[in-house]
This record gives sequence, C-alpha cells and structure tokens, in this order.
Amino acid sequence: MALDSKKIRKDFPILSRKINGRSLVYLDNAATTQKPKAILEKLKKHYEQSHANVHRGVYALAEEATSEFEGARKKIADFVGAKSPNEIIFTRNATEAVNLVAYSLAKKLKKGDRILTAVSEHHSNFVPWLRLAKESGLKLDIVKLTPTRDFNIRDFKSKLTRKTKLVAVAHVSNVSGYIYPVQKIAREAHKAGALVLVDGAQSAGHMPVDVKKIDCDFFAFSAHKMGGPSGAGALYGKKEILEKLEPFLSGGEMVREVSTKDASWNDAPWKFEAGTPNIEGAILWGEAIDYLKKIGMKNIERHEKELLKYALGKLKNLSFINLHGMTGSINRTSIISFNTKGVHPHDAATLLDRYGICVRAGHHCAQPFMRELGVPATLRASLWLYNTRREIDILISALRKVHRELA
Amino acid sequence: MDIYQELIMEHARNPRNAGRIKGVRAIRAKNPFCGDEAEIYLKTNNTPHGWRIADIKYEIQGCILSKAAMSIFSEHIKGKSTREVAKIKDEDIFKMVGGMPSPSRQNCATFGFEAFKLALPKEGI
Repeated sequence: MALDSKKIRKDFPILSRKINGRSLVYLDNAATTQKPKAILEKLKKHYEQSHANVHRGVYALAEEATSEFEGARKKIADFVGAKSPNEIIFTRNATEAVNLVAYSLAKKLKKGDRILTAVSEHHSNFVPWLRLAKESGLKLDIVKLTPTRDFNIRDFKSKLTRKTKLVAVAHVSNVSGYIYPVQKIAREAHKAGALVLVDGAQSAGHMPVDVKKIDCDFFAFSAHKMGGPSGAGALYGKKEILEKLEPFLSGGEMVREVSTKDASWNDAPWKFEAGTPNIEGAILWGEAIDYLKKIGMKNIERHEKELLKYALGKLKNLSFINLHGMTGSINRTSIISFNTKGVHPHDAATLLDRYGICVRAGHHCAQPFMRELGVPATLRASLWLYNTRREIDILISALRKVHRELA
Repeated sequence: MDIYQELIMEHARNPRNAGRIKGVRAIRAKNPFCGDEAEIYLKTNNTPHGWRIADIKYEIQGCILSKAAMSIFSEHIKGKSTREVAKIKDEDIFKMVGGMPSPSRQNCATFGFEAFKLALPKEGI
C-alpha cells in the first residue's frame, strides 16, 4: 500500500513551518526525526491525567503510571520481536545501551580476550570498545571495508577467533545506509562462541526488525530516530544473558534488598534501570510505535526505498556529485552520503539551508569511516516516511544552484 | 551575517599568505567539529621593540569561511608584536570577517586563529 504523503505530513505539525521564507524540507532523519502530533497529545494526557512515579506506589495513580510505563515496554518489545518485555532495558539512547553492555560485560572479560567491530561504525559503537579494550587489556579487531565501502564479510570471518567474546556491528550504516548482513554475522559469531551486539539506531523505524530472526544477543536503539522523544532509548538483551550480567548503574529500583553491608539485585531488566526512569519518554515512545504500526513498517520501508531510487537516479545525473558507498538501491536504506565537487560540505549545507533544506554536513560521528572514504566530511540526506519526491526535486534544484554559486 | 559576502568570497578565491616558509617547522591543527585541517608556518623576530610576527604562511583544507578567515587573519597579524596578537579574541576575528556567523559556523571563522595560537611561541608574550 502506497503511503498517503499528504495525510502523513499533516500528522507532523513542524513540516508546515517555513525556514528562510521557504517550506521546510527536512532531510536529516538519520540525526533525529520529527514528531507526530499523536505524541504531543499523549504527553498532555499523561501529565494531565496519569503522572506519578512508577513502581512501588500503592495508590491508584502510581499504578496507572506504572501500567502505562510497563505497557510501553511491551510495545517496544513487540516492535523489535523480543520474546518478552523483560528483555527490554530502558536507557537514555542507543549510545547508553551500547555502553551498558560495555560496562557490564567488562566484568566478565579477561586480559587477552578480543572484541570485533567494524571501521564503518558510528562512534557510539566504536569508542566504548576502544576504551574498554584499552582499560581492560583486551584486543580490538576491526573489520575492513569492501571496495564498495561495505562490511567485508571475508575479513570479518578471518578476524573471528575463539578469543573473540563480542562482535559489535551496526544494523544500518549511518553514513552510507548500507544494511549489514547481521543474520550471517550473528551465525558466524555464535559458531565461534562470541556474543553479538547490533546497533539498530538507523534500522528501527525504517524497516521491520526481528531480533529473534537476527538472533543477536543485544540490540541497541533509540526513540527519537523513530518519531519518539529524545532521552529515551533501549537495549534489547536475551533473557538468559541479561540474567548473567552485572548491573551497569547502581541506586534505587535496581536492588532487591539492601543492608549496611551488602545489596542484592533486582531481576532484569530493572536491575539495569537505577533511579527514576524517563517515564514520559517511554510512554511517548510507545505512542510513536502505535503510530508507526498503524502505517505499517513494511509500507514505510517500501516508501523509503522508492524515494531512495528516485533520489539516486536524480543525483547520478548531476556530474558534480560524488556518491559514497553503493550507488544502487539494493541492500540499503534511504541514507545518502555525497560530496559536491569543489564545494566544502559545510558551505553546501549552509547554502541549502537558504532554500529551507536541512541536510547534515560533517563526519557523522564516524571519523574512522571518513578516513576510509578519503574525505574529511560529506553531505548526508536521510529520508523518512513523510518525505516526498517533490522534496527530492527541491534538493536537486538547490544543489545545482549551490554548485553554480560556489564551485 | 551572510557568510558568503564579497569580502569572504574574495579572500577564499585569492587567499593571502597561502603557502609554506622554507626551513620553518609546520604546526598542524585539526578542527574536531568538521575534520578540516591546517598547517601553520610562523616566523618571529626579536626586535628592539620585542618579538614580532615576521612572516606567516599556511596551508588549509576547509570551507570558504575558514579559508577566508585564515587569509584575513594572516594579513592582520603580519608585522605585529606577539604581545599584541596574543590579546586577540574570538570577537575580534568575527569583526575581521564582517560579522558574527551563526553558532554552528563560528568555529569555521576561528579555526585559523586557533591553529595560529598553537604555533605562537610563548616567549615575549
């Protein structure tokens, strides 16, 4: 079913505003997405009707708030195909979810153990491992790229050893939109006895996700990249693994019993959730998921794919555009990185802003990847369910003008 | 401020003092915000009136604003005493380039200045 763009755009109030006198063309969805008004209405309702701190309160209002909060956990679990809501730990964002694994796993690893990640990772799934390796005497192995700048599965297999305890890769590259072969990666990693963490920040909200099918042990993702609020993220973890891991942060809620000498831990996921959680963040995230489910993740994926094909076709016709990564639309999402010959990405992005167009310019928190691409920075356009062909046309026409003016 | 005003475009297209100084060690700087890079070559002389900037050259890989600001700044400091240039502040750089850029682009304007500070010898300041 094709998406009704006109109807969808009405659900996002911000899309009708003007920037520099022009209609907003928001193409920075890999950084964060805009919010549907359903979550604004939900926030109002929650604050006006059901707000209290969650868990332990025995009065009706606290029970209502807890039920909404834990209900959101269930929605999020279902959205990524987890077996149980108890496999979802709330965090601030995907980065914190990755850090949770790094800190909790650190206690289980010993000197000489190895961690395997890829050169194309976002810093969020690279720096925690770099740091953990340095601080705990571990070895960090880094998977190289193929000539088309994708994950090199052959190099991956050659670097996977019995000493590898964790493989940490993205589901989708935040620079090239490339979809990693996560199922294959997980299969190989498990054969070697390693755990698998998938950074799903750029996949959840853009395609159907099934953590059981991927068979990853951890899956990190965030609300704000799929219509939800910022400050809310989650870590999916297989129940049997979460049970064995030590808590990340300490304080209230994560404990069962505390004496002056000792403390025992709550069950997962709560043993990883010290302190008052982002209650309204979780609830609004649940609301955003309801919104996406109504439209259908398959429909959203198809819409993005069609727009991607359209955009790539147009960009390829511009002689002054260098596309990074694959130039085809197979095996990738609608994140497009490119450079305008003779124009610095920051200059291009500043001038595109004059036409109301929001694109990102920079290293996209992936400096090792940028080094591989041989550029200090790129321009990045990233699409979502509300983007249209007309917006792609506006981008193309503005790029021509920018090139004429500055190159 | 419109970054792409005539002064900026003119300096970006015809940068002053671009290049290297033979026999002078390059000081490298990187802008962490965007990955832009610069190499500064600085020659100072001890004169009866104190230390002076005898010559400055640079190589820069960056956006229009960072290139232009580097060019304008290099013109401004040439021949000045190190004591005088050590007093320069970000606000002075914004004045030199014709105004305050938007917050996300201010580091482009000050990048050359930051790189220069790394190259400035501490004696005589």
